[in-house]
Amino acid sequence: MAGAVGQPLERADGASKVTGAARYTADLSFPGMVYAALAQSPIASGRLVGLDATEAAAMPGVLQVLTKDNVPRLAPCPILLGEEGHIHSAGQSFMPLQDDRIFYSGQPLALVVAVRRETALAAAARVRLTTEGAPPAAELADPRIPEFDPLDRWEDRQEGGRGDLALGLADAAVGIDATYVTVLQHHNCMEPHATVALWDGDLVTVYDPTTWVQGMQRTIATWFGLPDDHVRVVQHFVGGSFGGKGPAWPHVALTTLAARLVRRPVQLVLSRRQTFEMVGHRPRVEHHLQLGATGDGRLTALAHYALTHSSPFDGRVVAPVTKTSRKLYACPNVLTTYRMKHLNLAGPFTMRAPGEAPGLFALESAMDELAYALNIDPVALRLANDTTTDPDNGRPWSSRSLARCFAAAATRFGWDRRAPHPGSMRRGDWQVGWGTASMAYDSRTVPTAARVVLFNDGRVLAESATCDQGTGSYTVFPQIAADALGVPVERVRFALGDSAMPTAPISAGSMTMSSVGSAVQAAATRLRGQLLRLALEDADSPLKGAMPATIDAVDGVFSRRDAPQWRDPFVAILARRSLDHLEATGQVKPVPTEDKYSRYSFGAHFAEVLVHAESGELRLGRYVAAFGAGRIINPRLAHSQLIGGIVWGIGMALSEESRLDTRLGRVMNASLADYLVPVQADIPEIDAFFVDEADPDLNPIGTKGVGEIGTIGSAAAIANAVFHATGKRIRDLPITRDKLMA
Amino acid sequence: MQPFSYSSPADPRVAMAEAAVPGAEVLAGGTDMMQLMKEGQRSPRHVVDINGLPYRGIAVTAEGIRIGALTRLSEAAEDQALRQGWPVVVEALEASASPQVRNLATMGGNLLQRTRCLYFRDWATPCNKRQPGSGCPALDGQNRNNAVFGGSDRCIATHASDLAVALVALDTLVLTEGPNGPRRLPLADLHRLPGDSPQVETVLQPGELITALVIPASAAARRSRYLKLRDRASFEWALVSAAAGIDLDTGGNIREARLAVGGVGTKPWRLPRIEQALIGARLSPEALRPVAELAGEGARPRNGNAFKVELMKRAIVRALLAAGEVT
Repeated sequence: MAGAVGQPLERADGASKVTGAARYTADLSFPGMVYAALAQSPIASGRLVGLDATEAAAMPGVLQVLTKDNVPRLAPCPILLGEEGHIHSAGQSFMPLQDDRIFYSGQPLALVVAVRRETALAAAARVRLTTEGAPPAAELADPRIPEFDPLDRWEDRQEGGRGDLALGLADAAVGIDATYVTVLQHHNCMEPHATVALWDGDLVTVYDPTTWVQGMQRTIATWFGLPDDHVRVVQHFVGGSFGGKGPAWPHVALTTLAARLVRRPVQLVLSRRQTFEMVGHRPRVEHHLQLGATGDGRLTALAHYALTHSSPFDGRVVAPVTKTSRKLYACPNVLTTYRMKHLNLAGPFTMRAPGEAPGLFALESAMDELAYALNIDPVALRLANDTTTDPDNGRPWSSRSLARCFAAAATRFGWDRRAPHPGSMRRGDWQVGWGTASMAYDSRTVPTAARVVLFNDGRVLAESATCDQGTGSYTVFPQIAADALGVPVERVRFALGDSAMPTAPISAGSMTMSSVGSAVQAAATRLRGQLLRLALEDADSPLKGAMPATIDAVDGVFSRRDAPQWRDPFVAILARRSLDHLEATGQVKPVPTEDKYSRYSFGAHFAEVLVHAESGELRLGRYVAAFGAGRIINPRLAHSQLIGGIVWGIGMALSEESRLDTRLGRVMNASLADYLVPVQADIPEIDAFFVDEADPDLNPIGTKGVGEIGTIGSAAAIANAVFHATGKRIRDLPITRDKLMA
Repeated sequence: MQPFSYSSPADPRVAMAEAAVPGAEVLAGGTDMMQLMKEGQRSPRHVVDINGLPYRGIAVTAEGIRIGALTRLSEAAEDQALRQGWPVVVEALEASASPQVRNLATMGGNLLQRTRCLYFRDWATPCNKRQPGSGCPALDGQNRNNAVFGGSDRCIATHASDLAVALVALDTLVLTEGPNGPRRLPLADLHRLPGDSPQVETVLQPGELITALVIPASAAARRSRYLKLRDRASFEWALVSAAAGIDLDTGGNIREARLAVGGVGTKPWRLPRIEQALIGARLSPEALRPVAELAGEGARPRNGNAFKVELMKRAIVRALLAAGEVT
């Protein structure tokens, strides 16, 4: 019988989402719950010199106006990606409403609590603020703003290299030296951030769509000086995160504080504009690339110098854009550097493929430029620099399917029919261009625990404190548990999103499948072992005394492989012992430090663009991409992740940019009407698929993670296709019509 | 959003009287109005919901086609007579917003939608249109979407309607009723240039409601097309658009032309000089391009929107050629 793993099961939570039955944090209501709204700074740098809440406080239904003058001080908490060990999840070190300093436009300066949401919003608009401003630092290119070395807590650091870059450049027959710009972007999850806090004495329960309930638990405990076990964080659905809901942002603290002060449950839901102001963004990065190569296309030198920005108060790397540039290709002389500037924006944070999406736009654009300079096919250039070991540390790859991905996707795309010269392919009034790019992304498995419970009616519950951010946790972990335990997948329910559950990491970095899945498999396997022992030791069992290795578990029944008529159903085993349930926990341990492999997924993108010769209108014609990502647990949901990731790359390539007024330090297009995510009509047919890849050295379940790989390299493939169509090399995203007309 | 009172009168005279009171605002489809209220750009003390008034429906008349002001954009877009005789209008409607928005938004309300200027839409920034005298950061700020025609040193906000561009090209009349009685005025005269008072956008008087639009029939209206160029393929305002209608003589040359452009003007922007210059022109890119060049005269682009001038010229040529293909 075929197992559940590998089956294209439909999303277990799909029906509840499309019917509206799924309850997100903003849908929650509790007896006595009241509503909070923020009054915010219109300036990006300065001080709050006056605050008059008289009119707001006098509005009927307003319970309290929280300001820096009347709230208790919160304890500082280490920030996510800013400490060793990664225990806490504060989004930034600066906490509003604690003093008079203003660091970013939209910074909360007061929080109004009222019995109705409408009253709270109206009253917040009537809090009179007087600010004293200085011109903000908002322009990355401004030479007056000093650069600094960031705090880098990523496993592979941003600064590094090998060989002698100068020598490599001198040895090159052909060189590329260019600067590429990836721009400020915002996550724009469909579900805005929302928090509900309920106190019961010194115990607090916080509902929040965080992708890391236990990080938020420890962070709230730290802010409020409570033991961890006094704080419980819960979510059942996350309406998209893309990294932005990983941290506990200051509004979580302010809502929790408000609930304590007014002694009632408090809910705060951020507006779309507020999600542009205080819950993270992909920072702008200026990438200076230098490549050198021999006449036959072997790289002799590769340098990637990144300049980006952080908030005025923190300086850690959230966009690790340079590390993979040292790893993707064989090249003896490599240098990567990473510098930062403090700008008057709230804290940046990781956004889907935070390092490689921007980083590989730069590297893979430069590789394309090199291919034209050498007059070598862009696919051939990449294959000429393929490598069986990670050139950054000398370890072999646990698996690397880059060449197979190029071969498979190029065939489906019909790459061999490409006319090599820019502007040489045409369809009526449209110039046609074909472009390609590599994909590379590190594959991580981190310590995680899970529990699996078998009930005496045959139902199974698996649980871990993870989340389902639309990616499929509710669907895929039952598949793993079902096969490991030996029950039909329909009998398994997965529970998540409660800090009281077994330890799970932040859902980020495409590591949830590998980490939680391995833990679920370990727990289910252990439970099966316990159950089998109960049977084999039971005089009343038909299997009494059999050898464990001869026993199969199928459909919730143990049977002897040599004599299948000898069988013992799981429920019978529990019934004979009068057990209403049996449970086991399982863990996946950290990868040993003396690890002998580098673990990455690889892929290849191919894009066709059409550019109208007269109007510069740009359309995608079609898209093909292949990926090697280890074992695929659920092909339907994994395919959805690829498609979604590529759509993100299309948005990054063609339309998404948070447009700053640098005089005001303010994002001006802070709405879904003005920040242009792609619409269906922008998306061509996408043929995205996996090449078969078995990799037992990854983790117990052999998976690599698929949440981010679609996005990585896709913007470069599109930009490279635009060059092929038009002869215009657009090095700063997004590729808008004005740039094509220039 | 601030608290407000609400009424939905069935009698037009009551609606006009209520709407004339300072602090009152009119609600039709609400697709723009509700956003403006939620985001604090407009805070009416009283909202007059006019959806109960008898201003809905489409009829072909002796002078053209008459469309009630409360007719939904989707209803007009599905009207076969409008598609036959005035295709540029239907195409402009189909290029507007999304199906969901078009199901709610009204033909009258569409003409009165507020600008998408990013500074007008942001409570935290100065804006002469929103807070007279506070300044215009768009002049030297994020002005990719702003106008190159009709601006002043107080305001360069673009009029965002597609529909109005198509209608103004076809000499549409706006029918109104107000405390001072009914009147008919050319759509071209409905909107004011910003000048020194960008907060005053139309010539409508307090309490005066648009009741209907009348689009005259003509050969050029029948042979007409709308071209919209934008940053994504749908659900997005125009960077540049062009509404073109032409009548051809027996030799295939232009006998008469109607031309207006969108995304570039502080009001729906008709190009009468180009219309004149097109008379007698052949329908070929080579013949049309020199005429389209004239459209750039008087443009005052800013740092972020200079590309619109060239894009507009290309759009004009393409729209005229497309109109020529209408059979």
